[in-house]
Amino acid sequence: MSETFQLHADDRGLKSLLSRLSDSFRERLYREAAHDLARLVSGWLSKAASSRHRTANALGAQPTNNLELAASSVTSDASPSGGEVFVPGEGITRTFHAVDIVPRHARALTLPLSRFSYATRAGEMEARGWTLFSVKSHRGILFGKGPEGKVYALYALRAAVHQPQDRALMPSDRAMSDTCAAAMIRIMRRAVA
Amino acid sequence: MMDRPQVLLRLKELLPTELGSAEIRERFPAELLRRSIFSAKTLYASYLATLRGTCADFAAGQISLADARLRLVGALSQFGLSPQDGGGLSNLAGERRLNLILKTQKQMAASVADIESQTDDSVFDFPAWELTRFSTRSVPREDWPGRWSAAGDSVSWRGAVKGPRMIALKASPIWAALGNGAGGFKDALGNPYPPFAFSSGLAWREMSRADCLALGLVKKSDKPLRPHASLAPGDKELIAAAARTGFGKEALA
Repeated sequence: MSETFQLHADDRGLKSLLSRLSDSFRERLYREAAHDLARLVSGWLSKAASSRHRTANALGAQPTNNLELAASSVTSDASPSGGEVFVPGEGITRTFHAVDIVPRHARALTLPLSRFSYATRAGEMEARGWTLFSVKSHRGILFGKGPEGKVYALYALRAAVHQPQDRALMPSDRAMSDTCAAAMIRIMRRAVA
Repeated sequence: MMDRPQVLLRLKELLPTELGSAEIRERFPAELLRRSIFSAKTLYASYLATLRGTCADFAAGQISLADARLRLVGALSQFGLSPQDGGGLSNLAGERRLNLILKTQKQMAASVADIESQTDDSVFDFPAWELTRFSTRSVPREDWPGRWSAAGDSVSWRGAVKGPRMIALKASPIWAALGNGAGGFKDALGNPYPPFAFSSGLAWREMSRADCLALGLVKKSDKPLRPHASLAPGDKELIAAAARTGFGKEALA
């Protein structure tokens, strides 16, 4: 559900250069590269998030702001062997590849059809006093009778869900590697100044 | 390496209490609160343990917000508590309250990890933070200019821009003043980092050295001042404890 970017040198020349540096200086380079990358990712994700409330808007539900929360929770770390940028949040993993989701415990996945069930598990609906049921004439739909007695179509039941890749959630590979490189060069220049 | 926000949350102590939010802040030292997992009028230690683990898993992105809520509702049902009890934010099992706790804890832990990870280099290159909106709200607070102004006045605007943008050096005392509700804002959370108030959608964005030079916040000859110094002892103790574990999964298993 979350995404961790790991920073490692993949260029032989750069690897050779880094291996000759002290552990502390190598960590310093990775730390600043990861820090700048975290800053880039956070800003990008924050902007991208604002255009991703389509389901909530279509259902008339309150957006979860999950991506915005992820954008404000990006952190970084480093060691002499590499850097990491950690992006905790739902829906981030499909940045780099499509995601196929299958139920782990339940018989089916539940896709929200109503503002009441948006971003809410079926178990939560029951805990809130809803009675969930299915109807033979509408297979694949889970209905719910609310505490006030009205009936709503709450979920579409699916055996699997395919989420296509959403590469626009993150900056381009080039922008990310350029950011890391610029940070490392900046620190090297500072060190030799 | 392990994500630090998760580790920081797992190391918090449990603080059962029958007090409400305002009383908790009046009667308990802020230092104790920063080291603790608590919830207003929550005496159930076993629930707080579940809450701590759930907050950590949510902060790590291992479970969704809905799964986290479901886990907590399940734990609360053992005490006969239900989302159907009504009462809005005062209902321990209510959706609004659980969302508020989970999101606040996640952002607080990320902020502490962010401050702790600052170095002389990162403070030199990005000397300031801007407090800006990250999450939309159906009814956003309109009093942030007033909060900023009151906080700035209380610290004589040391290291801070008067506005309209809320920008200040990372080590400026304005962040602590904002978190302490300078000006009498009762919904402040008491921390020198975001979220500064309950259910706030504002967070920090770093400002580059060039921008800070243009704003007059730094001079070319200024040496970087790390914000870690402004972290409270409670935060520092958590970080020290986390460092002792090496931020490793094994140590926390």
